[in-house]
Amino acid sequence: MRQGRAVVVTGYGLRCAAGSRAVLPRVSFAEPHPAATALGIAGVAQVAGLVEDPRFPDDRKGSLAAEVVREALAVEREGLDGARLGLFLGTGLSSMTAVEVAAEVYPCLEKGEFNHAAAQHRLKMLSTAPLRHMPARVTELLGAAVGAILTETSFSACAASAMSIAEGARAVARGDVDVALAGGHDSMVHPLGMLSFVVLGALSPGVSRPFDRRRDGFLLGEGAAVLRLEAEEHARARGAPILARWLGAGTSVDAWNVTAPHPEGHGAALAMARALRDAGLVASDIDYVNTHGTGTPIGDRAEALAVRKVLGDVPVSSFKGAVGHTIAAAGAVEATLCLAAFQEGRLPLSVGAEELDPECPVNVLMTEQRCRPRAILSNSFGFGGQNCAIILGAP
Amino acid sequence: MSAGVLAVGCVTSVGEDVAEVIAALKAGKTGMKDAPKGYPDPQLAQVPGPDLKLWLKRKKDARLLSRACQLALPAAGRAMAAFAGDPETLGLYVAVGREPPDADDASLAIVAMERDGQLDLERLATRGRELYPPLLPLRTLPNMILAHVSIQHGIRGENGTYTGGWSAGKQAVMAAIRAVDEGRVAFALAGGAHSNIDPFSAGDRWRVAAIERSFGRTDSEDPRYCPGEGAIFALIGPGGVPVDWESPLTEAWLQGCGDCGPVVGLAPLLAAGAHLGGPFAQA
Repeated sequence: MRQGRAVVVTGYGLRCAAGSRAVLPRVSFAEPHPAATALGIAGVAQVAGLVEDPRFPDDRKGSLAAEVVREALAVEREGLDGARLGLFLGTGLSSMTAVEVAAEVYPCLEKGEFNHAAAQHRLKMLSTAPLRHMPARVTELLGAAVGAILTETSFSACAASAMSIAEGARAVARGDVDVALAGGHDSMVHPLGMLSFVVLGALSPGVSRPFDRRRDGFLLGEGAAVLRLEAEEHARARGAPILARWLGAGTSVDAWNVTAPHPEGHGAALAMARALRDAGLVASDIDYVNTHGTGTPIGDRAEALAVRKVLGDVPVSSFKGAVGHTIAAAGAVEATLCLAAFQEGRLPLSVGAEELDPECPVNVLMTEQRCRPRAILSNSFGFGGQNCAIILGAP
Repeated sequence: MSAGVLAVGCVTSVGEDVAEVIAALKAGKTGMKDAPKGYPDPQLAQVPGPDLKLWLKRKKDARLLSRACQLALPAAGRAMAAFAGDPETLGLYVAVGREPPDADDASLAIVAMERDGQLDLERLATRGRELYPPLLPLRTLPNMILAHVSIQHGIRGENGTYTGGWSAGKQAVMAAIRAVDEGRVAFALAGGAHSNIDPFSAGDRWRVAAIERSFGRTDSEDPRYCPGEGAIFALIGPGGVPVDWESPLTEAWLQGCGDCGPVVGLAPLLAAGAHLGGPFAQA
């Protein structure tokens, strides 16, 4: 199925709770947060030391994206000048922050009620409108800053950044661009963001335990990552290091329910099977699966059934017990962390899993395993039933 | 790269059927109407209805539909009416706008969290938590348009949701055409839906105007266009129908539909269909 030029990974930019280097996370990085504490949640997996980018005030998502795009271009950049560049970012909701609520909503309250007429009048006064997160604007601004000739923004929920990576790789393979910075960014680590997940019952009040019998939801994370995907001939011509090979991707829709995955993981299985076909591989070629593995009771079981059906007894683990669920950024953050498996010759353990659930019939790694994987499949599944599986190969 | 446009369904302020829309535009009809008193803009192009009875399998899902979803379902349903292939392998590529504010539901909770003009965490965790609508994210997530369309038609193929203002529609259409061209899907449903007529979305238009000024693209303080809403989906298949991206009908479509990025993106496909005859010949 795969057509066009061979594509390789020659660099990356990464920000997540575990840091900015592609190393296998071994512990949970959850920290207390005032809003989480108020809501009865033990903590969140937040990026430390994030410097706000002046282009994205009160917008951690935008600042995270700016850092990883800059970083992905900065390393091993000799020979990149003049390359035709594309920027493909998956992004998340622009839910209101506490600062924004205080600035735009509360001034329109009268005697404890929201005054719509006052709000509408106020909109006209926004001659210096706050430039809060507008999903595609981040891609547009950063794309212009790096001279990208092609930009694209995926809004595919928690599958968004994996889908952006797939789109970026295909653009390089087709020859639309020489280099694609592809990934995603998201942060819901603010009061209303956390509240929206709490009322859905998606967050664990304590510890994230993907595939564990006691799992009760996920740990909210934030982050951003982009892979620098490059035509192999272009990378070799400039002597760039090759960190991994792009092998393929598959997507699917559950077409089942807007709130829950298909209970047998039908859509997830379709995405993985399509990724194998796109890569020209068979199940036995995959040495490790980085699962979506959020730690929700229904989601983990459905994914486990799908992995078992398509890939058999392959070793699996989830990064989300360590770095949290980074929502729209998850696919990119986790694909970048997977680079460490190639570099370190180890398969990552599933942080948080202690007592495996027999209802999840997969080979969950409870400890790190020495192995030089030939190919890694990484799953990302989004609310609404959008699924994406991508496959990276050893360099 | 070429693609065939096999069917088109749309919902606009000047009609809910392709032939009807093209005839209306040719007759100079506009969907623009004077806005209600107090609305931030002088005019808006609102779609009457639509009646969802024909397009919704499970009536209880209606409470989960954003306005854009309400527009998308009839448009996608019309495009899918003649499809006789396997929806398991049908591609689905959807352009969306920013999430709708759903302010009426959320405002009670947000008001309840206020103390001295600031969001108070104790109130967030008590009254705010009680009042915050649990279904809000399910209504406001933009990719729910794709979710609902897929559920209605059993579509499980390759897919994507795209945003990017006016370019979103073209991103979705091009993604579909590439998927067909590269053999990842045999057919694809591509299009989008966007509603920008609620007063709160007006804030975004004024923000965009401010951004445009910051780039030096305009010195106008106005958003420069009136709000609109609409949805359009096309069933796309392999080869045979060259896409005319420079079609003059694009301009007419823009005037009829106002701010509907996804609609603009598919207008050239409509135009291509209009030149081909067949179901479009009457227009």
